[in-house]
Amino acid sequence: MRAGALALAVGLFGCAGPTPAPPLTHHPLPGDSAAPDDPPAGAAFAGAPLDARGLLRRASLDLRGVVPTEAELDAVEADPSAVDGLIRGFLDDPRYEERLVDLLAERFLTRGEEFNLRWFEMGLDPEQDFAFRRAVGEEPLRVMARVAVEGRPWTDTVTTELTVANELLREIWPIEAVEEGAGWRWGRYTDGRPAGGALMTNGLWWRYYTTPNNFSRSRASALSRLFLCEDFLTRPISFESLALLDRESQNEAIQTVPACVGCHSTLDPLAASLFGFWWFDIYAPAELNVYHPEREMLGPYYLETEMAWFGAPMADAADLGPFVADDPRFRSCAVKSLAAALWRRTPDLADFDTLQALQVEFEASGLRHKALAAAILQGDDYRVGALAPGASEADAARLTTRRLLSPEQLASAVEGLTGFRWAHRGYDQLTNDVVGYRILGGGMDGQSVTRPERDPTLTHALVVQRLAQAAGQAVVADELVAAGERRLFPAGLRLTDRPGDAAFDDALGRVHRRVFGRWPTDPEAQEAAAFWEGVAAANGPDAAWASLVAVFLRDPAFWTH
Amino acid sequence: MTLSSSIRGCALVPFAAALGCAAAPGTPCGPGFERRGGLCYLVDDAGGGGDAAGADTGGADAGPGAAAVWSVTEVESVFGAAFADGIPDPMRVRGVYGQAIAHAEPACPARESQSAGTLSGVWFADCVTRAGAHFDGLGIVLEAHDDAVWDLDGVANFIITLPDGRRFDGGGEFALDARVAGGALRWSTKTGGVYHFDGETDWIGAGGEVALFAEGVDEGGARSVRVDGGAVMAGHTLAFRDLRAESDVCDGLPSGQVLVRDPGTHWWSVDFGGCAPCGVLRFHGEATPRGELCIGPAVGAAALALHDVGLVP
Repeated sequence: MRAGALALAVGLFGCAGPTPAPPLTHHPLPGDSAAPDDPPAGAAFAGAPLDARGLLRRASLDLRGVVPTEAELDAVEADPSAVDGLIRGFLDDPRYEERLVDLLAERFLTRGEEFNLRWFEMGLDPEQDFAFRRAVGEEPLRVMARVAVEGRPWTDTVTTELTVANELLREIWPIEAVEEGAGWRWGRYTDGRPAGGALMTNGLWWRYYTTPNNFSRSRASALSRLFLCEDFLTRPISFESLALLDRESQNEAIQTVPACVGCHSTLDPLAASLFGFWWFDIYAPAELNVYHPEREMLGPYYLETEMAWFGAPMADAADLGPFVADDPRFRSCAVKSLAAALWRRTPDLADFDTLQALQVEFEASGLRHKALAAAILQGDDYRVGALAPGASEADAARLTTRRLLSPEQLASAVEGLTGFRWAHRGYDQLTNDVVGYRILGGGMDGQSVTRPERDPTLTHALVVQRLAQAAGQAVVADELVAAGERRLFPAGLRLTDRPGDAAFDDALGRVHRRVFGRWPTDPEAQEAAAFWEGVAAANGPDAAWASLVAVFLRDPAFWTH
Repeated sequence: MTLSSSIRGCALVPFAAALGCAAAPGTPCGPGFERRGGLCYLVDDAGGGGDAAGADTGGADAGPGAAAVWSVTEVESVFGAAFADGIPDPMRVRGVYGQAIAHAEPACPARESQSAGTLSGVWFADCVTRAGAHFDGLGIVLEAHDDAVWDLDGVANFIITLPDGRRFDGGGEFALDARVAGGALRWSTKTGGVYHFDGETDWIGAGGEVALFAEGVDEGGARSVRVDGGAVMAGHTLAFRDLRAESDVCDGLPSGQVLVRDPGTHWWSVDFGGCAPCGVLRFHGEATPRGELCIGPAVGAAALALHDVGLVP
């Protein structure tokens, strides 16, 4: 296997010896004077980079989910080259783990809301519904994110004997905590499941469940797609329709019909390694909550095949994690996946050299995910802010120069600015669809919608409107009326201040800067002040500030980056 | 039941002695094996003697990432304990369900498709009887029975709490297809899921995890049985692969494979065949055996004991 892995790796890099990494094109940090349409430093790159403030704002939202602080904006305005150090620091920010969970969710699609069991079948209270759905879907993502932020090798995501669980999961599943503290912590299943990191989590296989007669084939396909970027469903097949009414005839066709054998010769042996998660009744809590070691060897009985990893025999399910970790596709898939998440687009053939270079850096780091993220953040594709002169239509369609905030980013960014989190009956309104607006706001549930919106939509505008209005009212009520902690407004601002007053003008500028990452131009400031005066005349200064904040938050310059 | 649970040529271990061991002490080990301290090891085994874990694991290459947690001695002991109570009989679930559903009242749980003289009935409820039995969940049992046929199909997703407080948790499926044809009774059973009934002393009282598929033929006083699947037996996880035993062939000694999973989550397998009481012991699918275990008589007897009630519910 190791020899095979090496051969594959050599093939990937096109030579038999150590390969120097192609350089990651890295633009000199531009100052504010750099216009978005400056020619690119990269020879063939069709885009131009963001300026330092734009890059700071993008990275802050991507890695922490919040806009930059005033101090960070000050630092970059004073020295644009400071942005790189700040971005490196963002990777060590505790909020990065949450963002990584968000990014991983876009790929692994586990943050669904339709599981075979619901809160009442788990002995939970109705107000725990949202927390239950969210916790189940996040379990595998948390394992991967925790591995990443703790600087463990990425292979730990599929080999660790631990999971990451919160109080709710420890209550409903056989998980014991292995570290103290509240919230998401390392834990260990006590039901005898093998080590395997995210591969051995209930959360992953509750999302990717198998019907009893599918015998985990769909799960094997998902495993290959998610962890190897190898999608069985993209393989071309052609065959006449067959009458396959029972398991025996299905197995015979799978083993003899060439069109079937092409996929099933590797799919079924992989499925055979997943029987510990296979359920006789897909709605019975007693079945779904625990792993079933006694079923691990059912492959030969049901699938008429032994378990194997793409041709390499596996002795038992415990071999699965090491085989995944040892597969070169696992590492290249990690690179491709994170690049896609941070570039906000699907990598294509034109990205081959870039991905290759990123993989070399990833490998050189000992498969540390943060190092990979840092390398991606340094590259043109992440930093692109505009098309370069002469860019083609294809370039325009390919490069994401302006990026829509996801609902999760929107929620955390607004909360960071205003302290407002839109919740209703315990449901976070921007991150669920049971009684919320995640999909309408451009997000995805991983089941009915599997890709986030890249472009604004009518429903997105409506969601942002209501969010902005509610956040504006909340922050004014809290900070200006109730004299709460100042997050958005400067400490010197009072409701009695009017345009022309130093405190008002200062506050207007600072609020604008926090929301958009730059000071307002004079016309912008005048327009905002005029708007404020108009509302204040009709409804008072508190309504005026609330409306102004709402208008700012509805501006595309806020909800894009 | 005859039980030879000693490793070939071994002295009788205590549980084997208690149940009666057919293997005489001092029996030579098979070709390629030698006796050390009562156990048979490969002649070129570098593991040395002794009972310490690791010392008698055979020394064979377990492959990357796989390390034997148990010694061969421990594997032998585990098999002995596991088979002491036999293989979980799938019809035990039916029996316990029968006890529980006997506490039903006409309206709790309201059952459809009932049939006199059988356990047939379909219910979906969360109700408490006047006597205090609580039925919560879903139960689907369809049963037909006469002099020549016994068909049973059950789906369990319930918790039934009896008036005395005992609780029956069921999740999974159980089925029987038995019929007489040509003077022979041919039967097959399927029991899959998690079953637990408070207060019982056997596997179902311990919280039974089963995924067993058995089939057999009873004809002229002779039995043949095949077992596949897995089960938790005496707290240990076992699996069966094409395990076969015939009462009038090879004295009931089995063919096929029996496996046990160690705490390191890897499997030990014993392959039987050739009318031998001893099977070849391997760890983690290694090509090189770790030894031989002479548990064939116990395994065969356990298999032949499955569903030995014929057509009598």
